[in-house]
Amino acid sequence: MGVFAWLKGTKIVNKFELKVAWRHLLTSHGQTELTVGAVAVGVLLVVFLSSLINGLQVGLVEDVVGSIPHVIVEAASHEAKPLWQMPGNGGNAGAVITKVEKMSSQKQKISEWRRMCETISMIPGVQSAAPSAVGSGFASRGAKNVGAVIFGVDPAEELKVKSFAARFVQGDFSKIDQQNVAIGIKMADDLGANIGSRIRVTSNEGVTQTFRVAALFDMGIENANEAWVYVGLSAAQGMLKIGKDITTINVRGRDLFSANRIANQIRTFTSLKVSSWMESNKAFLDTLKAQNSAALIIQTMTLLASAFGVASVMIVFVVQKSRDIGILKSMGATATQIQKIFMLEGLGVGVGGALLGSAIGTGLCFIVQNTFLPGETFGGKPATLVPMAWDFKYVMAASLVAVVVGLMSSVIPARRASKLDPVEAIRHG
Amino acid sequence: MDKRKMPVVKTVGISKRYGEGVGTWALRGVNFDVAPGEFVAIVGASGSGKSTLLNMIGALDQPTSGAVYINGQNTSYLDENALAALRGDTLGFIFQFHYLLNEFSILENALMPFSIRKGGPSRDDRQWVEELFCRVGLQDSMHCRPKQLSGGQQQRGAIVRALANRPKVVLADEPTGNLDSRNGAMVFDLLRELNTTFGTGFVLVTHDDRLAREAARIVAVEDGRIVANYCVEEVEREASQLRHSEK
Ligand SMILES: Nc1ncnc2c1ncn2[C@@H]1O[C@H](COP(=O)(O)OP(=O)(O)OP(=O)(O)O)[C@@H](O)[C@H]1O
Ligand SMILES: [Mg+2]
Repeated sequence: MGVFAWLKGTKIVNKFELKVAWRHLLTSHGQTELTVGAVAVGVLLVVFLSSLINGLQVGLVEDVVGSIPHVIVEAASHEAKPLWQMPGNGGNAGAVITKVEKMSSQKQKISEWRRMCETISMIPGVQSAAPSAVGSGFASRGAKNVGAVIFGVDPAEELKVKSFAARFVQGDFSKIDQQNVAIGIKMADDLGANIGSRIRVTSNEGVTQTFRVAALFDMGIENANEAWVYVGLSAAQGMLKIGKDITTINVRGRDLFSANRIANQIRTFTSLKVSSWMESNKAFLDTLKAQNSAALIIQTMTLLASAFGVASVMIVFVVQKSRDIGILKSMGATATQIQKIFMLEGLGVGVGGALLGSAIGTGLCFIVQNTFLPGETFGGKPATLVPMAWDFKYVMAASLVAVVVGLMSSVIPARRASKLDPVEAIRHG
Repeated sequence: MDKRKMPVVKTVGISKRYGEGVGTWALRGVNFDVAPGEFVAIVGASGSGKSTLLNMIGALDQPTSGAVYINGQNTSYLDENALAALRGDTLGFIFQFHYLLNEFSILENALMPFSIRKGGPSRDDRQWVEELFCRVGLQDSMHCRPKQLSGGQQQRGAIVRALANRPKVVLADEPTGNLDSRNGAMVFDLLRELNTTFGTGFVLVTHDDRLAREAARIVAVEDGRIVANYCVEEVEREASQLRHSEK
């Protein structure tokens, strides 16, 4: 076996120790299978569980973050705040006002946005920054009328900051411009519109424009499907009466989880409102963290259980082999040699368990990963039986831990073996 | 002292107590030595301390008081690893039960001392061990596992292993105790033969007085003491002289 050959090369162990350990493992009447099995189950569980949790989280994060940018830079909150959150309203504590008042008069905009986009793009880790003009209004078709959030974007740029291309279920998002619009499937339903239908979009600023539906999307979020309206940037600028300015810069980092760092860096050079998806979805991230801790605890427990299993079988094994140990000692084997023999056996069990567990775990992951549920999606992709995202690093980590577990759980049995009194061992043979 | 005459093992007033306090005194001040190439039989009743003595000589156990010298070295000054080395180089062991390792063929068992001590047998070592197998009549069963052999064959395999490392003395605790009388006699004769052919010393514990009488020297142990220690030849010479003078 490779590990054994390597160990021999290092001169840490010699041929004799390897040979005895190897023979013991091969002719142990089921103990080897048992201990290797115990380790393999641990490894299998770690690989499978990690892949599962990862798959779930990747899917969830995709669902949550895929349709929003990692970092948003805004002129100010374009959504009006409820009155009780407004400054200078402190004396009014008794009055509970829940109705959200629109404050279209307080229009905020970013004028120097081209320079700003360039600067942001130069921050390390930033993939791209795209301008957009966002405002509210409503969409109508015939007598039907629904509230709308109007996003004015350059479709090519927008696709660089949001990984939502797969979410357009019909039509072509890149076609949106002055005359073409993309709406959610829910809105299309509500308006009775379809690809090619004409709808009217009216901004809160009172500008109405007619568009042709060029694309339909399903963002996986109810709100978005109901109210989001994508139009060309200049169309939105006109409707929101902001001239050549914009309201929002959407930023995408190369790494999803560098959003906070990027946001902080942007804050250093602008007083605009900057928010990262991680800040806005703290509760969600906390849930993920809790999930990770739970998984870690389960995995640790499993590996601990494997370790105890291996250790107890090994101790029984040492007792069974005590006569042999006495003989080896009478033939001149030192305590160190005896200890190495049993440590090697632990190592062998660890390596065997790691290989077996990794193989089965990986196999299971791939089977599950390729069992698709027809017609369902998760994380913007066709849904599988269970969402799985197998990664070689789980196999590496689990295997490494298994080898350490095998080695560590053999320490006490090996020490016992080495301390065995040869006379006792032979007497009670 | 002449190196050749120096005892291979020598005990000076060794006592052994098992347990704490009063305990059991298994040995009480035993002086005993084995010259190179000697064939000694230790006899005595059950519980008299024969095995204990043999374990002391083999440095498998430490005496409560007194000293054991192996090859002129006081074993009480040696650490565990040095003792193991000394055992491996100087002594061979045969036990009542064959005590071969079941996972290995008897040839591998016999070559084990070389693996332990120097990483593997040389060509010479191999030849020597194969010759030993021929001597004990196991040349055709060398590659068998112990379980595939009869009790007598197993014990002969154990003898080969004990002799493999060319020890100066082989310590055997009732090597025939587990064999029927025919096989026992055969193993005993074999030991005698190996003693005369290769000059290997033997110290063997036996219950069988008939076999003991074949030894060159008989040591009788009783209650942890040596109560008789005589050369069979001398005794017979004296006996015959006695008979002559009676005439
Ligand atoms: N490990 C031990 N612990 C306690 N007492 C022991 C131990 N080994 C031997 N004894 C005691 O020491 C005494 C001598 O034992 P030993 O085994 O040397 O006798 P023996 O002459 O070999 O007997 P046998 O012919 O039955 O093998 C006995 O009384 C025995 O009970
Ligand atoms: Mg005995």
